[in-house]
Amino acid sequence: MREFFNGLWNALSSNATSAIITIALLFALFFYVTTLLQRNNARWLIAIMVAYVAATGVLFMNLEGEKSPLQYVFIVGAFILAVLILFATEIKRDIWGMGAKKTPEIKRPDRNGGAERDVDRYIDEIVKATQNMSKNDVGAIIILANGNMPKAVVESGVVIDSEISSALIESVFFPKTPLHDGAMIINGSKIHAAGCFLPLSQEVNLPKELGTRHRAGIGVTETINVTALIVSEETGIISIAREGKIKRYVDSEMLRQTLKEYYWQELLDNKD
Amino acid sequence: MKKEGKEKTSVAVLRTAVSAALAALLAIFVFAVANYH
Repeated sequence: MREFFNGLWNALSSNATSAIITIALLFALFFYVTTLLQRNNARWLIAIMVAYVAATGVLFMNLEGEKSPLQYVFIVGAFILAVLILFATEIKRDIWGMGAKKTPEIKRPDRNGGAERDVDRYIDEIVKATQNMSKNDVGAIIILANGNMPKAVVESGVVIDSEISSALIESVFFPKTPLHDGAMIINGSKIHAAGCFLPLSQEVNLPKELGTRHRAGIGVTETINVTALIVSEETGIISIAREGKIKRYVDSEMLRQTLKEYYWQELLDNKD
Repeated sequence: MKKEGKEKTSVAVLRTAVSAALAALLAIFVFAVANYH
């Protein structure tokens, strides 16, 4: 035990700068991996990681003969690499989210509750449009984004940058109109774009009744941190896709709750 | 709604603190083992 701490002390005192940089890099790597596993309900894998690092560490210290520090770093690196491969989709989502801004269009809540009233209106308009389209079996896909949609996706459609209104949403998705087949992107208080093409999910276990629109909704939420509202053209069923998972048979209350989470979290963040 | 938001935030802060503590321990351990002679 004493040799262990002596080795640590010697390494720190012989070249403090490189030691601190190495520890900082290792910290960043382990911090990212543990938060990634926590977010994905894989806490058991954190326990396995700790056990693996400790066990291989003890074995390495008891190895006879020449030892290079890099050997142990590679042993630990192999495990971390395996975790990163296992969660490749989530990592892709993190990378896409790096440049994401918080919804810039939502104003800071003022003393008279102006922003709150605006948000209630946006929610009402989206719920009204979605329910009307559901009643009339009009297919639709609406993405609730935070300015984090890749430029390529936005440019595949038409930039609208208009106020949110149920009439406009319903007009865009009205069958046989030029933009009805693509996705609409909402950024806070604006309809940013419509007619956008999204990446499709390659998940093989999706129910057969889910068509391309649903696959696009799931696909976009697999890699980008957004929420997709989908109305089925065949059945009128409303679905919500988040983090690559889809929830079907969504009623107006659930829809309203999802929109509140999207808008209000933003306002609460701004207030802090 | 505001209370829910605060609760969510405190849970997130706690999780981040636990992750940071664990990551610091692992980083120092790996560094120490790699420099063990």
